[in-house]
Amino acid sequence: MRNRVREQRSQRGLSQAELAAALGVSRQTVISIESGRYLPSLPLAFRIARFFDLTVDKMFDPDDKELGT
Amino acid sequence: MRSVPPRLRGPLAMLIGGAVLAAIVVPGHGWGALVFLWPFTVVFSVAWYLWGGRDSDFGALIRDRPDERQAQRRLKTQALVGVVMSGTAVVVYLAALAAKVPLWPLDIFLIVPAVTFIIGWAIYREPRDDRDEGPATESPADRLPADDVVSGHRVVVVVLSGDRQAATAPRVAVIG
Repeated sequence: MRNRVREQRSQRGLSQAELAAALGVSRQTVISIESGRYLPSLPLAFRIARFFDLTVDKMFDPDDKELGT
Repeated sequence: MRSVPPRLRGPLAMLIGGAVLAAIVVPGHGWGALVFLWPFTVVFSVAWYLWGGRDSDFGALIRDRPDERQAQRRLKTQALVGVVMSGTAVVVYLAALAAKVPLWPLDIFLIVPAVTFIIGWAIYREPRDDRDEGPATESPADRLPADDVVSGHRVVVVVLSGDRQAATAPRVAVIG
C-alpha cells in the first residue's frame, strides 16, 4: 500500500511528532504508516485524509495484490 | 487503582505483589528469603517506572495509552503468548503422563485455555444476522421518479403526456 502521508506532511512543513499529535496517535505509528509497514484502520485513514483535505483513495493507493485482482 | 497515575500502576502492583510474596515466603523460609526477593522487586519496579517515561511503544503500553497500532501489537503478542503457553502445556502434560507424575496441576493449564477460548468466542460474537439478502428487488415503481410514486391509494393511471416509444416517465392523474 503506497500512501502520500510523508509527501503531504512535508508540503505542510509538519514534523512526524506534530502530525502524530494532530491525529492522536504516537510518533512511531506515523513513522510506520509513512514507511508502509502499518496499514491504519479505516477510521484513522479517514482522519488522515481529512486532516490533509484529501479523500481516502487519494491518500492511500493499494496495489493489485492487496485488492485481490 | 483508577486514582493512581497509569505510569505508577505497574510499579505499585509489583511492590504490592512483592509484599504479598514476602508474607507467604517468610514464615516458611525465614527473613533470609527477602534478601533475594526485595532487591529484585524494587529494581524491577523502578525500571518499569523509568521505562514508562520513554517515547516508545512499550512506554505507551506501560502508561496505558496505546494507540491502535500499539494496541494491535500488544494483542498479537498476547496471542503469541497464549499459543506458546498452550503448546507448552500440552508438551509438559504428555511428558508428565509418560513420567507417571501427578497430573492435576497440569490439567488446569489444559482446561483453562480451552474454556477461555469457548467463552471468548461467545463474548466476541456478532449479532446472528448472517443471511445472504440476495440482490435488491426492484419494483416497477422504483423506475419512476420519486415525485411520481403514489402509495396507499387505488389509482388509475392516465397518461397525460410522455412518449411510450421513448419510454419517458409518464405524468399521471390519480383518481379515487
